Amino acid sequence: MKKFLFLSILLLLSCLIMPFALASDDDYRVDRFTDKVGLLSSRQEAELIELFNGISLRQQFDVVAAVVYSLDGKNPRLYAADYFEQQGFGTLDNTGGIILLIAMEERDFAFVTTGHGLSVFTDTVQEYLENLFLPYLRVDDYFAAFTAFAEGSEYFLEEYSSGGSLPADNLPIPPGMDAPPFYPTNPDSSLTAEERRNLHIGAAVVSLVLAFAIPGIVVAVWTRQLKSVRPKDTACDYIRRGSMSLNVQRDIFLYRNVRRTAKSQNSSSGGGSSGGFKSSSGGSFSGRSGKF
Amino acid sequence: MALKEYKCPNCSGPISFNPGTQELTCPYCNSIINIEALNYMDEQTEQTPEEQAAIWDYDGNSWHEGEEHGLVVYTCNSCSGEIVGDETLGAATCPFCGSPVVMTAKFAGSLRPDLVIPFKLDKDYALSSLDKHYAKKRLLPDVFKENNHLEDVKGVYVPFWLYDADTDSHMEYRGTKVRTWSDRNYIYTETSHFQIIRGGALGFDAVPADGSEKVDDALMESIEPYNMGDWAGFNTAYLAGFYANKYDKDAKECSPRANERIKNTTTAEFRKTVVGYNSVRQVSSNVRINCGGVRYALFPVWLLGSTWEDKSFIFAMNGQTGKFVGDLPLDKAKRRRLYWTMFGIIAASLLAISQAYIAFIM
Ligand SMILES: [Zn+2]
Ligand SMILES: [Zn+2]
Repeated sequence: MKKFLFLSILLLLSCLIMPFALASDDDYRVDRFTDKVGLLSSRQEAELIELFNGISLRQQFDVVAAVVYSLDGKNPRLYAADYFEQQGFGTLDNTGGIILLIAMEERDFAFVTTGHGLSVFTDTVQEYLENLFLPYLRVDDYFAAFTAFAEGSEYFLEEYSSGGSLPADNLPIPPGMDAPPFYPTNPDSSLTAEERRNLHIGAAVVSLVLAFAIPGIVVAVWTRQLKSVRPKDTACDYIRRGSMSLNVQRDIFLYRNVRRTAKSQNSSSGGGSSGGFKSSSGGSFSGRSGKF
Repeated sequence: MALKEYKCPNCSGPISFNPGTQELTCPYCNSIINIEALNYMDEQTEQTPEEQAAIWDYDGNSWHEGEEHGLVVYTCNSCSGEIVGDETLGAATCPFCGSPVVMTAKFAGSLRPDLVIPFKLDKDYALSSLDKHYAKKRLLPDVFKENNHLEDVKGVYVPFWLYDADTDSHMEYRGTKVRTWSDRNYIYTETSHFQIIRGGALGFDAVPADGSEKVDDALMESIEPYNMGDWAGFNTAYLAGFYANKYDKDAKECSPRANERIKNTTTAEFRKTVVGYNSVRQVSSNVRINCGGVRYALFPVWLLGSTWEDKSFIFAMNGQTGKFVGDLPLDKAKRRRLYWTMFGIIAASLLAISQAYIAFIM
């Protein structure tokens, strides 16, 4: 009996120690959260590093985030995937990981996942996850955005490993935070309460504008009917048939110039900004990107 | 050869280039400039033709021996309008103001019209056209339709000057053509600027101008055009039973209006030859109008006068084609009522439908 108790304690201890052992052998790489732009205070940064490390070790899956200044013209998702690989993430038992990368120059965001994440973070889950953090990015609450991303990721990893399916209606609200500025209320509807309210107001405004404008046009037409005396300022009826001759007809190119405007990218639309792709070194990734 | 100094056509920055250069990029605004065009524009500036308006002079024809003896002149005491009619006209009222007119003199002097377009449509046709003119006008006061005090209906031969002209024009435009394309990150818009020059001739026949002071010019222009295929040489027989008005503005006095209309039309016709551009701006329009012939004509007009609420309303019908015009009074109270009724219906139904759609279907 004593021997059994001893073995149990040993087993329990090794379980507790193992993550630390693993953690210690990845000292060489950058932190799981890095802020190269300085958006966050050093205290917030430290808190986030602790949060990302804790989740990564608990889940045996690298959950990473980074703030960079510029993508140097690269595709956002490819940049994120390459960053993830080049910094040596995804080696915890080779289970892969997930990264959220934001570039402040053009306000791009991209989050991509690989390995085990390809099965956890399906298209639907990615969209849910995006809805969790994007509202905070849009209002420049970066700390909340990264927290929401980290905690949302952990939630889905746990749901997946416990065999549970996604909640039909409510997504997890990260502990200690308010609900994001908008939030899906109805599983069948893609509209948030905020969007729905705006639609109601917008439709009312458009209805009233039309209600003012349409009768206005109608009575203007009716008023115009009463007037039939108008000076005729042209003499088209009196052109001598066939008398027009064009002796000079020159079209001379003078100069040209080219204007370049950045394309606006829609964050939630599929086209080119979501789905599976290969990193520069050939690793399989999946993820989404857009502007915030 | 020395460097030539030019101004960039886009930003006016000073640019210089070596002879033989075809295209160059402006160092200030990055426009790609066509050098040949700069040279060409330089030569062009001096040789634009002078603009000229035409002033028609009319000598006219005198009456045939004894021809005008059957004609008498009536003068309106109220508006002092002068009307010519044959002796059979009898007791008459002024076609312009409705007051009685008196025969003042045997007809004398003035010029003999060159041509006349005879009346083709009668008084009954004019009256039924008036009914049609009232129809389907929602904002016409109901009372106006019901108590329609039509004071008189008169067939009047109105004097017109008919001008022939040839024009010689030189037009300049600036035009742009726009191309767009895109790569993954950017949309590119290329705008090419062109100088467009058009020149040539255009002729006009029988541009009419109303030669009577008493008859409103806009009213007469509104019942145009007359079909010149039906004209006949003047004969006093055409005047029987109708009024005629002598011209009191001569061919010279009426020239400016004809010039204006000819210039507008010429400008519009040449503009139609500029095609294939995304935008075109007219830079200059030089129309040289050369006088052709001028003829003195009588055109048939039915004039219908009516008064309502102390305002007089006058209608005119083209006595050849039946084109009927005349401004009608507006019922403002009715307009306000109809507007707010429509507003209520549209606002209520749009609000109900859209709000319900968002709440229950989306
Ligand atoms: Zn320039
Ligand atoms: Zn009178």
